Amino acid sequence: MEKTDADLIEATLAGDQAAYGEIVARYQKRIFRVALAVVRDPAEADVITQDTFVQAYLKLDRFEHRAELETWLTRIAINRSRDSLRGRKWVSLSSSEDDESPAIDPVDEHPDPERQVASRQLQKAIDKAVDGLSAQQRTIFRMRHFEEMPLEHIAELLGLRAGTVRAHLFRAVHKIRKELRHWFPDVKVTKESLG
Amino acid sequence: MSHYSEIDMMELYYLPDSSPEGVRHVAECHECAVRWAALEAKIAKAAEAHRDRVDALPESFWQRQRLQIDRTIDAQAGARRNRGRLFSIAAAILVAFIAGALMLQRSIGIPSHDPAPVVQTATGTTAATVGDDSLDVLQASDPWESEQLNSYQDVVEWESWIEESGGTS
Repeated sequence: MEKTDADLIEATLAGDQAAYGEIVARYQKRIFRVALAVVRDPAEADVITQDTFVQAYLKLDRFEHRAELETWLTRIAINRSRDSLRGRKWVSLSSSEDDESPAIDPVDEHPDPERQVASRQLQKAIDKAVDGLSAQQRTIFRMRHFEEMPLEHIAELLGLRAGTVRAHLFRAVHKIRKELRHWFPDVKVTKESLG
Repeated sequence: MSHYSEIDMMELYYLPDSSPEGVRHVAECHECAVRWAALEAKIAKAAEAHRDRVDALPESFWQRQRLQIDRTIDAQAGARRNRGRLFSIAAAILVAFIAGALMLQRSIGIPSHDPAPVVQTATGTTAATVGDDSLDVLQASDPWESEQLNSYQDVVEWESWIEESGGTS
């Protein structure tokens, strides 16, 4: 029978490091995926994932079981990812990450060339547009876009109110819409506003 | 009749409650519904590609990551233990030093720091910064404080009276 998170936490706190290894194995993929969704760089996401588990281990005795362990870990990872995005603006002048292709190519079991090209184009356009957003807006947009998280969940993870997250997302989408207009020259008829 | 572009629909996609009117229009308009489906497919594809990108990573990647986490935790825990040990050693040294200093003070009888006594001499005041024994010697050598003068006390007082009254009577 599989041990619960609470069992593994208890064992870890009693000094059983193998139990913590099980926690890492259970959630590392999920944490890496969230970090990658936010920072969009596999090497950085790897470092963030490692930091998240080390930090969680050192503070495990303060985990109060008010949230799920997965939520707690995700929260640490997202905060760390957001800090990483904030720090990026200091090195962005010398970096050329925008032009780099992803280190790992997407895998598609049933590739549809036309759909793939269209989605890649949109993805590139979105990535470029998103780079112009604030760290907070980028984090929220990417969590919604790549992880398809509901606003309430994003709010819980970021420790914000759902209304605040909604406002950030609204502003982010508004900016992206502006940026993306020239990517879709084929669109002839457009409703001016949705509001 | 106006329609929504895919870009306009992004707002509807991410914030469906931002425009009930827009949602209604997309549901009723065939042209917009087609665009909506295309947008939805593209965005879903992006999320899928993101998930696939992670799923495609080999097991060796996760093993290496776990190993790295274990090593960092070991190093951090070791550093914590060392910090604790160093602190204990430093505290023990400090306690031993204080205890040694107290014992030394008691054994050689170093006096506590009382205020230095002031000795009145015939030529003026001198601050004595020596121990109690030396002070006794100094006090004994003071001619005005000597016992020999005690028997002449009355004479000294009478002579003082003469001077004060101007020496006329």
